[in-house]
Amino acid sequence: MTATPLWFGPEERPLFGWAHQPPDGRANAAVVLCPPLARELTCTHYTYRLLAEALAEAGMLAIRFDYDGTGDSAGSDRDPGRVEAWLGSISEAIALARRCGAPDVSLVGMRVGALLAAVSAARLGGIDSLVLWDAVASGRAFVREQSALQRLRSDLKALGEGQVELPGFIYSAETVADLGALRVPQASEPPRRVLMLSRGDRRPARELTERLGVDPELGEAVGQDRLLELEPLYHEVPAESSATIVEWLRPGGTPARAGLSVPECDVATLDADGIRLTERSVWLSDVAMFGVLTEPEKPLEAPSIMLLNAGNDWHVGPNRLWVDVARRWAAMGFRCLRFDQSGLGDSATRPGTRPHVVRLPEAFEDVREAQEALEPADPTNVIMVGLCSGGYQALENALVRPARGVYAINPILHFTPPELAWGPMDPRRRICFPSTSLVSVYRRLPLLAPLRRRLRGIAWRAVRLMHRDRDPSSWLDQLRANQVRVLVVGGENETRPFGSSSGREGAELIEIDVVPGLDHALMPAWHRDAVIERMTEHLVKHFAPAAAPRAERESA
Amino acid sequence: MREQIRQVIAEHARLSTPIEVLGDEGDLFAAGMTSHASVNVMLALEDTFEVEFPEAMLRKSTFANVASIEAALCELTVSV
Repeated sequence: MTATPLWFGPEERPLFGWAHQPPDGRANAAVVLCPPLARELTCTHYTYRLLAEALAEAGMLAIRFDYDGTGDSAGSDRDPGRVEAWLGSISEAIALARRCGAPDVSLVGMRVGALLAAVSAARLGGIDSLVLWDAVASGRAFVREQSALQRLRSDLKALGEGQVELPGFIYSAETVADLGALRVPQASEPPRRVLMLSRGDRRPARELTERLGVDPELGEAVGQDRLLELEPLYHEVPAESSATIVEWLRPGGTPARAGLSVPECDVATLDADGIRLTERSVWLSDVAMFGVLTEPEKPLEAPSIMLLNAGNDWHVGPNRLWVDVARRWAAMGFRCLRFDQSGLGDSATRPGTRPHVVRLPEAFEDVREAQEALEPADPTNVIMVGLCSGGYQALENALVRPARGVYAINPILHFTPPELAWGPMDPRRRICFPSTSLVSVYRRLPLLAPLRRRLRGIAWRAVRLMHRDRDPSSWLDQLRANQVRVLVVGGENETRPFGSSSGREGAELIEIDVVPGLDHALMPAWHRDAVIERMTEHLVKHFAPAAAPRAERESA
Repeated sequence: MREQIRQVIAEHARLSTPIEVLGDEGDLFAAGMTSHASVNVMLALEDTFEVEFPEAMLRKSTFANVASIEAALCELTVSV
């Protein structure tokens, strides 16, 4: 199986996607995977990757793609004309599949992706098979459910007239209205067959198939709650439903299979507020870690920026934050790399390790090798940026090999390292406070929640007493000694472990910025804006003012 | 109404503590109801009582316990 990253679609508004080819590079049937939107897109990225790989192994060409304004594609969710742009992205992905040499195209869509796939199938015609996977009944139902979820988990600030905040994203009044009005039109050339997988406790969204004029085959969407409703670290891939889809789409008999030809396009040109940027897909180190490098036409003589995975979110970052900041900072002159550590997102897994596991000790090598690939002449010439586990790893790696800077957002230092399941803790871990089983019980029992809230300060003092060798005052001193500029931005709980850092020599290098009530995953928009503002201010103040364009320095 | 609310909670809230042992003022979130589960409870309540919770009611406190849910539904002038 070969997976090729590529940009495609309109040159001025490139889309990003992947073509997964069968092992022998031959297929007549293609499957275009239409992803969900907003936070559900993040939850399903890895599931879609595995599904695409399984479809390719079964002899089909599988196309994964990011809608316009999502993932690595150009644009933003705040742009106008979102719904038509998303439908246009599906058309482009179908055209790509046919251009690769697979004329028989089927569509798979999950959640709101199923609605968009059904509309596309009806509008375009010529779709062989259609899979509607845990489909939303309507765009309105999707917005209502997601906006209620956001309201019930976060404090929200007032938005513009008609705007709606979903977990991690904002939709304009126009997008909300267009999604609400979206209906599957009468199909003149409907798909040959439709498979509808629905949750056991929800009715099938037959509204989507009535106007297609096809009686769907029905099945159960198993495990959707464990895919979409758990906290990101605990997502589970719905393997049973994926296997059902592969078998249903597998071409029958022994169809003639033509050789495929996937176009090569590993670089795109983007416009960021009038400034021209390039984005290039890159493979890092021998492990084949995947990343996207964003560069301005005239990069500054300044450190390059590395954006690390947050938990097991893929390289676009929490709520696509890394794409936003990479493009913003590249427009200021910084080279920015967002990448997937081994076993996460779109990267390969290191031999002997399990995929999709967060905080493996191999993360030390991943970050070190990415540093070397990004700045081969001086791997310390980087600023490492991470949220949650990414913030933790950035601090740990800066202790092993210094960096110019570390931006750690809501870093979590207290967790159970995965290697404890089979042996001792990796000796490179300097700042982790390993959880004990007693602590785990204390942290997880719901009935202890009110007690935990009252005892947070005392609990952290106890943890620090138990692990004196890991007290931040010692390793923050080392970062200061190595001239690593550290900015920690976090809520009260996440910054509590750093409490002993102020008032020491060289304290101007270490900034602990407490943002009261900051959501751990930055779901509310104003939390993301606050973090971007703080990091950008720090970047401008400490790394941009004296910097000259790299090209000028090099020619001088 | 209270029994119907409890039935909806039993089916959709995915509590780690059974609803039967929780009083009407018992905290559903402390009993293991997640944000996602609370949305499922909200949607099921809307189906059961044929109402729609307005935005102003979409707060954690509305769905914190059986009594608060009942009060919200009464405010929406539900007739059962």
